[in-house]
Amino acid sequence: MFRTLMLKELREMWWLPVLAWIVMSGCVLYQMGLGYCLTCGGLYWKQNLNSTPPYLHPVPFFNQDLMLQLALVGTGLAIVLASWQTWGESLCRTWNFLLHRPVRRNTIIRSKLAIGLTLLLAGTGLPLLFYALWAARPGNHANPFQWWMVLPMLRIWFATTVIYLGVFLCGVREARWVGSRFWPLVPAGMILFVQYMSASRNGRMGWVFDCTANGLVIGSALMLLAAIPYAARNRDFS
Amino acid sequence: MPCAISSYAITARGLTKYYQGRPVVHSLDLHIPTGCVYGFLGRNGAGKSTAIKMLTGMVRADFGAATLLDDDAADLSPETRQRVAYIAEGHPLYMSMTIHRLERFMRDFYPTWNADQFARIIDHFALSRRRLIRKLSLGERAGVSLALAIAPDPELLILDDPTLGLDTAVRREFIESMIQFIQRPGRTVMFSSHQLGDVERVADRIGIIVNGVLRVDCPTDHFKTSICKLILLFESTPRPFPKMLGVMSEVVKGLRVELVIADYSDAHQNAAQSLDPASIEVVEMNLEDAFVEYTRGPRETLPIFSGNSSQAMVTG
Amino acid sequence: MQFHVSTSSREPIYRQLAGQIREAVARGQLSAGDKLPTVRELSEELVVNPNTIARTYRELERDGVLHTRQGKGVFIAKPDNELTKTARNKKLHELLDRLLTDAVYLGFSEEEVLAQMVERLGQFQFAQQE
Repeated sequence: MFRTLMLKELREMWWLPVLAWIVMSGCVLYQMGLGYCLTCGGLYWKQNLNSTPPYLHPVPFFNQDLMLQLALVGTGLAIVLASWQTWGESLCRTWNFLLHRPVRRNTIIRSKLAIGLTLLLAGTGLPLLFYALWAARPGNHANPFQWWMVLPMLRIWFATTVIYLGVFLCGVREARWVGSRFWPLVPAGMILFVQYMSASRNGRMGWVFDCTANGLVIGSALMLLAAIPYAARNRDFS
Repeated sequence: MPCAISSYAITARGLTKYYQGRPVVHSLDLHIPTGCVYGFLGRNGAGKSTAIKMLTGMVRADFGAATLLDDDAADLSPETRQRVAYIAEGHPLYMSMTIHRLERFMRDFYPTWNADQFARIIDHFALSRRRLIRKLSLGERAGVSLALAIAPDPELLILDDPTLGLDTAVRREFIESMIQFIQRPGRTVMFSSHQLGDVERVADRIGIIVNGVLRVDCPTDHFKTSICKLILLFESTPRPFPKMLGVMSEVVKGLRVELVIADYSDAHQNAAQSLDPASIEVVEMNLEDAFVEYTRGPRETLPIFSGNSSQAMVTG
Repeated sequence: MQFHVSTSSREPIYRQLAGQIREAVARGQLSAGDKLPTVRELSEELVVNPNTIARTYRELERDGVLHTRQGKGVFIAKPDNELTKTARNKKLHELLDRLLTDAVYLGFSEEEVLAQMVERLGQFQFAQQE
């Protein structure tokens, strides 16, 4: 039954990460030098890719532009996914239909979270993986590359889950007025910002700051994961 | 006796819900016996939907408790949910699915899924399974949601105004399917409705909720036969009718006085005679008129019906 | 035998049906031994709660109009007059008085009422003179 519920979520959501994947792939390809090749009329862009001067190639993953793009695309995807999964059910008035299925309410919420998180991480993660594999292969670019260099990007990538969970919590939470319904978004946004600052400065903020940022992301993700089923249990689906 | 089975499919005790400080449902007590078809009536905003949502665990009660099939309504176990079908108001279904896809989705949850039964109802409403829910009319969607509700062979069916907005033909088809469903003994139905004709056809018992308070809970015939209209004709200007329990409205038209009275008794008769009218006529009312008179009467004087015993049914 | 129910009527459905069956027996459309539809059949045909139909049958059985044979169905019973001749006479007089009172208020003459009565007598089946 968990599988049935996940399939239902997947069927409704699959196109969203595909959209994000396309956007993110565009960003990655640009960083890989596609932009340069296009501007120089690169019909032989594969060839050019290998022979472009190093300064036209940013060092893979040590790249403020791509980090910002990742944060933005990830945030957008997180917001749309989580809203769709929660307010979507409210708008179509299908909560009552869904929650009456003979499974625990927690199971229903967990199936939504499982698919939502998977799609969010896959949507922005697959282009990054492709980028990393490309960067790790010798001869593709004239820069040093080691796997630890992926880490800062990975930290931002993972931090978008806080936004997803925050929006999801807003969607299942009950609140007296619209404003207070959205308050979980404030800390979630701040945490992503701190993590972005920490990751994009790559160690220059000091290890204490970096560890705090990481701790905040993981801690708040866990807290939100616990809060969401609780909120869903204590809410009126009228 | 229609409702004389010892166990209860639905019970509620002091169920109360406040919205913005106002009690939407106030201290609701319900005992719906197994095998009973219960019509739940009330004007818009009287609290029917909220009461039903508390019974199905969608809305949390502020006070009180309820059970469905002897299981706590606020936290129904999956095993109980399997035996209870619930259709929320407006027949909400996933718009992006086809009928076929929706059946596949639902089938996985119910080991007792009866595919023939599902097919029968879908055919009854003449629907193709390839059709998208989004493209269906409200009546067709009602058919699909009824088929989905009945196919798992539930013991208890809870319907929140299922015929709202349906045209007469579809409404009749819906009611026919409901009649089919209750043929097997031991199946309980609770449904809210504004269609008094339908209620009279299918309900053994009715409950009427007025401003969040359950005022009537008795056999349908009992309610119908115990509300009547008293027509008094006078030769001179009539004196006002004495204030007494059961008098729901008094309309004076010249020399003619019309009273709507609940639980008409000798006391009313004597009071009428003491005014010395030229004639007294007692007219029974049909369910719709009785309901209208009852729900628009002055609220604080509304008599409360609770004909719980089976004797109460044997009137007239 | 075609039954019908009306929800706009003041009469409860079970009484409407009982009345129709009684009338059909009185008019000779149904006679002793005739089988009636089952509760389920009638319930589905009239779109009425089966409990209501069962109640109609139960009350008519109590009054001796119907009798149920286990596993066979519901049948019209043989008329069985438990009341004494005097009691029945008294009842008939009451009914006639009520009818005649209404007829007077409706403004019919004696001859008109009698003529109407004779005309309609032919439509009913009466018991044979003992």
